[in-house]
Amino acid sequence: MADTPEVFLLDYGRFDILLPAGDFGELISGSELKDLPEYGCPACLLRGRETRLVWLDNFVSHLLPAVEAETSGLPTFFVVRERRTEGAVLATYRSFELLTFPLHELKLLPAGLRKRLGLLGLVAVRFSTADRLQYLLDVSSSGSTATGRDREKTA
Amino acid sequence: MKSSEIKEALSASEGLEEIGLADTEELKSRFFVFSVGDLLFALPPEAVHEIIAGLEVYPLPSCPPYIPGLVNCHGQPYTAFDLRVLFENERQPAAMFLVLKLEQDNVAIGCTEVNEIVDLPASSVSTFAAADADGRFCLAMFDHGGQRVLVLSIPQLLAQLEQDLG
Repeated sequence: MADTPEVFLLDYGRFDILLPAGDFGELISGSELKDLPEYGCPACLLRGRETRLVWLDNFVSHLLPAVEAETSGLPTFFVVRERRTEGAVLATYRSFELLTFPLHELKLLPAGLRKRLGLLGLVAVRFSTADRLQYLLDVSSSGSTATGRDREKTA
Repeated sequence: MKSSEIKEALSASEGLEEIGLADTEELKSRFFVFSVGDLLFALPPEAVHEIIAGLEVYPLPSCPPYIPGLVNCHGQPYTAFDLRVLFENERQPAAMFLVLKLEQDNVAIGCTEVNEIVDLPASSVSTFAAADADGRFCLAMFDHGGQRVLVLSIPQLLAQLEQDLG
């Protein structure tokens, strides 16, 4: 990883979620897929191939309470770079921005919590200048995201 | 000192030397005493690295109730412990955190008040009976000003957390 990794920052109200940009190969706007009826399902067909669909907002609200709702507009799909045979896509209604942080500002979780929370996809945190906590997720490799957290169909 | 006195003194300090509780020269034990609500706890002073007041606790998913979250100690995340949840199953907002001096982990214990450092004869510190529930997280206890003070075992606390996290 570079000394200043790129991350997507998503504002969840009382905290932020950081997604390492290097985990994703492509971003697709919901406007490109709005006619695809399957995209509300845990598995969807994305450009002709079946993928695991993870609704990030539901995943985050399951992990951490007090997520402020934001469901306007069309979702964005973050296509995960394939690490395994199965593809995965993260979908979110949140607006986001691409930022870089010095690597040393990201802190691993305390050793006693690292293994368990790592299984949930939470790998590091960053204390922002406003003393606001930012959680770095590796949702793509998290076994707990396999269900995609059922969400009502949006198409 | 007679051999019987030596034997008695050694017996009294048995089990405390491992974590540096006993002062073998004066046969006294020194403790850092702090409050969590109405409960009194003690640690060896050398186990406490720093006391920081007014830290915000950030929530974490999938942790047992006695871990309210993380605290930010000089930019490093520390696991916050709420001892009152462990001992009385009640939440206790922390006025300050004791940042522990550990090599392998970052741990901070929430407390409501830092009381004092006390020097006690080792013989006045008693260990727990095997069946005593408080003994799960404590090495010993002593009476101070008519109140029971529990000497925490940090390794036992961490073992409990490891077990609860699976």
